[in-house]
Amino acid sequence: MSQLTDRLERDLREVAAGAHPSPSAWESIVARLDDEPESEVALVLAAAPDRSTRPVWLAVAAATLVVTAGSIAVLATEDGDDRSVSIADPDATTNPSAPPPSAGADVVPTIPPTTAPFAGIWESTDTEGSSHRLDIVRSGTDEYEVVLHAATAACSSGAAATMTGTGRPETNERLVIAQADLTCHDGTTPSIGPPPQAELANFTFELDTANDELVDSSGVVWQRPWQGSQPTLTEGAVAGFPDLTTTFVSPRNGFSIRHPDRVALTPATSLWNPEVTNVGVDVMETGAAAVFKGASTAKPGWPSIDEWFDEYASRGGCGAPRRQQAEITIDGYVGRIAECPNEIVATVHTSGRFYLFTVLHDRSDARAVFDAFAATIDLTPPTAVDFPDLTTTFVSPTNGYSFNYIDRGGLTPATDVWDPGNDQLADNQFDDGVDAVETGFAAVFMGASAKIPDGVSTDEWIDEYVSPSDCGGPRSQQAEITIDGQSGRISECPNEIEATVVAGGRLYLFTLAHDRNDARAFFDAFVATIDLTPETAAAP
Amino acid sequence: MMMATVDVKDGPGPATDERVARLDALYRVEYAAMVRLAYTLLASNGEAEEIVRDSFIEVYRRWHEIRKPGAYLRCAVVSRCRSALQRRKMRPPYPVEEPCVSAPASELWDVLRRLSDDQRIAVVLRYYGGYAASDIAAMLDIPGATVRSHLRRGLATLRKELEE
Repeated sequence: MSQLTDRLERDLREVAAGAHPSPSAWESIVARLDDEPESEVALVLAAAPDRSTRPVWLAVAAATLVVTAGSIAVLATEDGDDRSVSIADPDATTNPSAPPPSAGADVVPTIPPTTAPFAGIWESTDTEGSSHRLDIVRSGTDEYEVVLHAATAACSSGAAATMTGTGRPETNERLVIAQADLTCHDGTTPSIGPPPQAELANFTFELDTANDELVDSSGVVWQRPWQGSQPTLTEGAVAGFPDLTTTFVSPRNGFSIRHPDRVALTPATSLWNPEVTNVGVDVMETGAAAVFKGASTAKPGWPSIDEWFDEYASRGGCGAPRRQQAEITIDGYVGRIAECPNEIVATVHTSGRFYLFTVLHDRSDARAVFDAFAATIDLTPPTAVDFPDLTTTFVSPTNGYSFNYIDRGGLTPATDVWDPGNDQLADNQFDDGVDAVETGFAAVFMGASAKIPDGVSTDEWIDEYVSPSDCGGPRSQQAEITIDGQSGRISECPNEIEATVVAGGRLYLFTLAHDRNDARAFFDAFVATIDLTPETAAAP
Repeated sequence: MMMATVDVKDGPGPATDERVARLDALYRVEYAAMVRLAYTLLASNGEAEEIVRDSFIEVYRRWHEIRKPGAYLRCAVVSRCRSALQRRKMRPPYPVEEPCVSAPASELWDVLRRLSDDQRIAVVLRYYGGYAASDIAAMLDIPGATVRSHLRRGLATLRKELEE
């Protein structure tokens, strides 16, 4: 390694010598200083890339959100409003996604009327008392995506089934799916045969506008979830919006919130990725022309949370730059809120966590709805999970164990056997006897094993050869940990966690080098997947 | 390579003339070194100079707010280089210069250019700039473990490619 680094230092100096700093650079700088206004301007520390140069894929993602918002915008309202939505923001400076105003453009373009009477969540109850759900989402100007969660009887295996299709309105009261497909969740063939099923050709939904009911081709009547059982409004509730009576606890994002009884919930299952729609986001479709979304992340390391948000998380470009937005208080923390056509975005950060809450809507009382939701939010940063599931299994070729990890290309399996007498793991991640996983989440998980020499005291041998640093103290005094049913020891030091366990005459060492606040939880997640198989280890 | 710093007193900061004088002092110490560092990251003398000049302007603007202009300048240059590398990806192919160097340095340069931006930045800052991983982490505003990861992977690639 020293040869390589020596060469790097030498050759990079040679490359750097190819630069030719201009002798007149100072004059150039001074000339620009002369143009500087006297008033101090708060500039960003990092170079702020021009929004117009954001990656194409990011722009596409942002556009996707706009489309999503547009789709939500045309969700049916309770009163069947027939509103149009202005594409051009009257204040273009507050909406980066809006096209720039053109000189002399007096006409504000609009999209067609937004009524979408079929859209929403519908339910039916069969003769046996089981309820079934129908989701209809407008996916284009004249198109709806339909998902019908069918009765179990649809599959001979008894598995659940789903009917899907794209519907087009023939009239304002008639939606037709040219060909719907029914599939069984367990992969078996539905009772009526494999798709496309002739029985599901020209599947229709007739809308009874008077009763706000849908009747499908098979005669099933579908109603909106709270129809006929609208709860009594309580203090703080919004007229025309169902009460927030049930608590949802985000499994990953570190907050809880109350919501109406009957909503379609899609909890986050991964880390929030602001650049991809709904990844890591808790999504709650209320069926009342409003979709609530919540997400959070460990507080970004940027000097300014406002700048980070504006650059990376404000995907739809809703509202003014964050620092110019209005204030809102959520669970005692002062945040920011932006109200845009069909979208309200609020952000708030605690000492260590940044939260984003959004309502996509087509309601004139959306702010009231948002405020009602916001008033029920509890921010619980310690419950947030900031690492992804460990889904890929690694079987060590030499060390006699397996564990799950995050496959982001950071796995380096051992290629040799580990010799603790010569290679101390803590000092050398590059050791050939070490399995290492660079998680991509500010942590490197490493493992190795070696046969314990005969006749030695395990603790003393480990203290002397495996973990000789002062960190954690003597092994015999360290905290206990159980790894694959075996009792071991663990020490937690700044930026490093180290656990040792003995099985089948072998000493196993697992470490996590990290820069994480939740490192122990991350380490435990790895440990929970470890299988010790000393019989498969390469000697010694 | 250690950065020279120009101490700035607490308080409202120097008047404009004094600020320019101090910037001049900083310029004399740092300008050429920063251009060479930026050039090593970008392989473009013109772009390197532009970035360093912009960074000096930024230091001037924020003089009242910063305690260590030299350190701030270093962060600004690296940050701007990083942004420039990101922007290049949207306008490929970007014309970069071929350094007029010896054959071994040219070989290393070719491999270095194939690393990811962050790996290359980490390697250059560590082995050309002489900065510790913790300093690089502060400059890039990323965790130290991430820097070590970039270094580890970058070195592994360099070792593999140069040995073949």
